[in-house]
Amino acid sequence: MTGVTVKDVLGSLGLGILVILVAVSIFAPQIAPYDPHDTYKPMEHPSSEHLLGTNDVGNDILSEVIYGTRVSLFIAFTVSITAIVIGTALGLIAGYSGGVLGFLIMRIVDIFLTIPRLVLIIVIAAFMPRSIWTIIVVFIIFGWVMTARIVRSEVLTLRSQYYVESARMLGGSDLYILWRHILPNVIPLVVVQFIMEASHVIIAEAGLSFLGLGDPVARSWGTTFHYAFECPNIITSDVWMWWMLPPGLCIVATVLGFTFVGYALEERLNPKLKTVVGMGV
Amino acid sequence: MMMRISDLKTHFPTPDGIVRAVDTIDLSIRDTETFGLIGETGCGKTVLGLTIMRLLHPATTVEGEIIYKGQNLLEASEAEMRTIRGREIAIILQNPTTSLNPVMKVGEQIAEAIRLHQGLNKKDAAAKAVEMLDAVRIPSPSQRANEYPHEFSGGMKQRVMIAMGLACNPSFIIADEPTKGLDVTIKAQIVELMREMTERKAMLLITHDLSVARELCDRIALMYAGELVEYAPLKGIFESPLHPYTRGFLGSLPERGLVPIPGMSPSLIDFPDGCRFHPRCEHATEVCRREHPELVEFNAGHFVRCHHARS
Amino acid sequence: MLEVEGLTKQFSSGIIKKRNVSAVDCVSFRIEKGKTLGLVGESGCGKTTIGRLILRLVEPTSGTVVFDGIDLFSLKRAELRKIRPRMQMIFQDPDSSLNPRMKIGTSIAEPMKLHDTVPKDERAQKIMELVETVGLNPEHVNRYPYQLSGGQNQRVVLARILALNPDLIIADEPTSSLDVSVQAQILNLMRDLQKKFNHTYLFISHDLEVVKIMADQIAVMYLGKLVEVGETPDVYNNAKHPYTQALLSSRRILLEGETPGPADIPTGCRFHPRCPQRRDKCAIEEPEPVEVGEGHYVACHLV
Repeated sequence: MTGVTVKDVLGSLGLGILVILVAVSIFAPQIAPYDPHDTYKPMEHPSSEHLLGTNDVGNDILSEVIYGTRVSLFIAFTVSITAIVIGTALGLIAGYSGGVLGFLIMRIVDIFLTIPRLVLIIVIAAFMPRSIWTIIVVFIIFGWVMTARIVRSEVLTLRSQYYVESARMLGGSDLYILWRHILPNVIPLVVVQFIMEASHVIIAEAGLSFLGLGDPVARSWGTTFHYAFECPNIITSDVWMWWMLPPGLCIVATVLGFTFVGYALEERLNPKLKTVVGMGV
Repeated sequence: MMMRISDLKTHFPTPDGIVRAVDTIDLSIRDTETFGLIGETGCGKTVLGLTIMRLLHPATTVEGEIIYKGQNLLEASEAEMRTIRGREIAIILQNPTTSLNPVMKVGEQIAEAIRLHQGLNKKDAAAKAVEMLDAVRIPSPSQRANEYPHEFSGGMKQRVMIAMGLACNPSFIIADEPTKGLDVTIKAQIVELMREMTERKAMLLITHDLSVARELCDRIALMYAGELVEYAPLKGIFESPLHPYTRGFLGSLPERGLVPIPGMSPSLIDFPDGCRFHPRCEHATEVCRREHPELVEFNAGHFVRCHHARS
Repeated sequence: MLEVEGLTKQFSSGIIKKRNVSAVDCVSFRIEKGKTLGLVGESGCGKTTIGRLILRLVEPTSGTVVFDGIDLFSLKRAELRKIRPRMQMIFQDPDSSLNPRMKIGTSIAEPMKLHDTVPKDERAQKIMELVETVGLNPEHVNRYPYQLSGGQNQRVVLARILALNPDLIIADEPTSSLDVSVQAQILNLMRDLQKKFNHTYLFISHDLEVVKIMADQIAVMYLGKLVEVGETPDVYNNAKHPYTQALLSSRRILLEGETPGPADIPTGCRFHPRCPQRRDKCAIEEPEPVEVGEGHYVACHLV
């Protein structure tokens, strides 16, 4: 029994990727060779001056991708943290109190779940001013739903556990029970939910920006991708290799990073999932 | 002799270490007797049943011999085992709620076992299934055969499990806690039914419930920490128990005064040195801490594993 | 100490045709201070519901429960919360009675914190005291419930309850998930604690043998109704109701059939379809409790 599993290896790999990406976005001004809005000679091929060349208006692509990390991760984290906090709070209320309030929350959840999320996001984003705040708000509106549902069903199970009942017997108030006994036991689920939401937002945001609905100033990876795609002859020439591939790889790496971490955490945080080697029946 | 188990060891790896669930068991079961294997949670008794059926995880290591009708089951091929399971040796599992397929009619589940082993056609197998339900005294069996497990009460499900186990007329039955979780009055019914149904068969009854063992068994063995500590005919165990664990076990029964055994059973990963029971034994001496006692025949047919066995 | 009078709980069932199903039907008993009443019955007979009704974890349909002179059913939420520490419950599954993410010590300290019964700087010492009282080791304090055995966790539950110094303890099958040798340890501990702290117990169990040892009085329940109540030796040695007689396993009386669900309660005496001694009258008329000896009541037409 070595104790190191495939899960641990993948988990550390994922964590490594995320740490690097976060570091890149924090230190973007120090790392990036140029300001992404400065213009140079357009459509340069990679050279020692511009490692990934320049785009159609002459921005340095490497700098754009580095700053894009900032935009993409900022959106991903802001959306998922807010959505998860809202979802957890509503899920706790719905699961614990039941009653009219719980009923109402769950019906709203049901309505949201029947709406095709991405389609509606595209429609809304198309009518709103193009800014990262539009994207963040739209994603939050749809992001809390699954969490609320999952948290609620977990709370329903936890509520009938003897230790919750005995906390009530000890004279604990509802708020105390929620805070001390129920919340700590839903945290693992919430963490996993957060990771899933974050990687979902990365992809969805890239898609939205790719369609041209992103912020034209604060360029995320998706936006970079969008402008590259609008450029004529992008596929037939070699240009895609330094203009489209880098932001695309960044998106893939981020999603993989989140997925690996989520995969490794899921079991670690939930003792119930711990697999027992031995009995086959 | 129906079955002879010798030097049997079943070990399996876990992240915490090797679990020695069965750590040297020798016993033999005669043609029509019911042999009771008594032990508490985590003593390894369920694993013994699964070892006989060869239903263990591939990572498990099994050593020793299980001779059934002259054949060593541990050397039998998987194909041979499939014909033995159900047909020759049947297992009646605890917890019928999870042992029955919830989306399959009860009659079909019994018929499936019959068709698998006896090559009957669908119609005959279905008729046989109804016959079995009748034999375990389920009222209006032909109608009940078309119902799903959730329409059966706990006691009725346990009857179905017995019907399933006995459907192919096996000669050896392993019953693992067949009365667990049943109400007192239902338990009495099931015990009565088991007595009738297994009268001319060999049975290994695995249980923690001495009252059930007392009703059904001819001989009883007590298992503690992976090994047998005492075995004897029914009377010998109840009237003149020799091992301190057996005495403690009997004494902790409510009807015998509820005198507890101090401490708790050791984990199957890490046994105490010497006698495995010595940390909980009031008679333990130096030799008990040092030397692991052998199972010796104290009286005719009454075996005990204790340095200080006395009557 | 505890007086239960005409306690009834009905659940409504069915979506289209609403029907009232009684889980507990007009149950009355009393327990003196420092004594134990053993409530015996099979699964689904309503014995657990009685425990929950008394503690108002479930709201009753009718009846009264008077605890130490206080009518519990007339209390408001805030008043109830104040009195709850005096009445505690032990559940049948010790492993899920403790928060899996709380260390044992934290769990034991919880009631002290909630009610501020012990000053902060004395809590650690008090925890150690309690740990010793229930027979655990000091090192257990820093472990988690999953690292302890079922028996040890049930000791933790007892330690936690003792921190509140309650008057009434309702124990709902406290040892049904434990092995016999561990069961004996826990039951002995409960008896010792009762002697020491003069607790009043309502001991709920399916096992008449266990109840015989634990209880001063026995109440036998079948399908929501008490069928026999009396002092332990009277009920045990001189059981009058056929159901009680069958529960005493040593008598080897086999009952036919199974207990029907609370949704289809038989007419007349509820027990009559399974009763080996039934008569025509039993199917028509419901028997009233009759006093057959001092404090020994039986609801059966045969007595």
